[in-house]
Amino acid sequence: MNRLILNKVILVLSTLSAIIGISFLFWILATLSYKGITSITWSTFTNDLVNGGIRNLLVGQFTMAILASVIAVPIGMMAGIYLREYGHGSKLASVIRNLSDVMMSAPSIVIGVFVYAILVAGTMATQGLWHWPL
Amino acid sequence: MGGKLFRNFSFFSATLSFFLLIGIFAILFTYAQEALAEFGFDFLLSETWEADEDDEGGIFGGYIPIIGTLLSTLIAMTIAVPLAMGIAIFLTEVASVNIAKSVSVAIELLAAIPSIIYGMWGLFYFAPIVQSTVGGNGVGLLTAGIVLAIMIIPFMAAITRDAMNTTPHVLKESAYTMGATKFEVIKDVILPYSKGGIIGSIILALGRALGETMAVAFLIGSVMSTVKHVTDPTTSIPVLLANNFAEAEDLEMSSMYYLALILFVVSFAIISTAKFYFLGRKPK
Repeated sequence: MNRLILNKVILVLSTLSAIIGISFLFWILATLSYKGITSITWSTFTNDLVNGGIRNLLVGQFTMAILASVIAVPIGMMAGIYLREYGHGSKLASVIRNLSDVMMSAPSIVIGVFVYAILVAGTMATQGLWHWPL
Repeated sequence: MGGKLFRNFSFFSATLSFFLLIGIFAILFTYAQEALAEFGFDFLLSETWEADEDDEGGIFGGYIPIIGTLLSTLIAMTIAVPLAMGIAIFLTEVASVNIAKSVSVAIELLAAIPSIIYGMWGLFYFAPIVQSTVGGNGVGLLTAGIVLAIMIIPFMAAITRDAMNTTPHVLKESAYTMGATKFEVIKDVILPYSKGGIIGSIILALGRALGETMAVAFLIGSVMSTVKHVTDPTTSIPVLLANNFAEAEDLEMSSMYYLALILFVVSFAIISTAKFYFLGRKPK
């Protein structure tokens, strides 16, 4: 009998954890949409931030996303094509695939620091755009 | 001619990830050089983070953000692992197909929410609850850890579910035929079979929690002080980098590159362990 009770307990616990997970989702979505929808008006999209709107934020957001896509999509697709069509089965291709897998999960802040170092740090110093700290 | 160009460009694109990896490591290492030379490995154990009056130098130690990162991740993992396992078991063994499908969609939705939304929600709606039930200021290590847990649960649950789903039905059915209960099937058939995938998913989530910036930045309090109590505000490596990067100079800047280097090396090691050792590479 004991094992049947244990079985029930475990199954109830697992259902409970699913319910907890789902309720957090609904909690977040509910507060987000409630607070969001009640504060959206037409002028939200037609004014800049200083006037209580988000127009400039949207423009910045999409410009940045498009810029990133323009750079990344061709490179990413070409890399995929290489791996599948040219390097298929080769040692190099498998190394690259594994590396990309790992790089995909690199913390975004580290990528930010890296790009800051190569693009921003140099321009802020007086040495010019491509100042190298060596 | 065109074909050759195409091939070369695709080769260049493919090897870019390799050069990026080398590049990130080299750049972080170079820029961290000053701090490495000044503090060496004592950096890891020093609690002081103070710039001199003239902004030229100072004493910088990574102990507080490093411990903050580790502790918030530890709290998150302690909460997330059992819950994610429970959800995965529910999805694979308990729920009917239709319920499992809709819950799966909800879980994947939760995984797709940008981390800054978790941060905002945590700050305005969750931190007050922590404050009234546990005490403290609302923002602090505990709040950051819990919200971090909510963030990584769906991710962990989804991979664990996939791993559990690979268990062949024949194995499960034979166990049921012998009179095993669901829990016994889970414990003695599914878990041993999908062990690698489950450990892999836990480690991947760990890597995520370590590097999470925005959600934690909202919730951890961002103060350079050692934690004495679990609700104390402190800071973590990504949060310190995000907050102080624009203003720092010279040695402080270099110390932050040092921290970034530590974070990069640690998360790279963690993620590659998970991917290669536990998750394995499925052919294609």
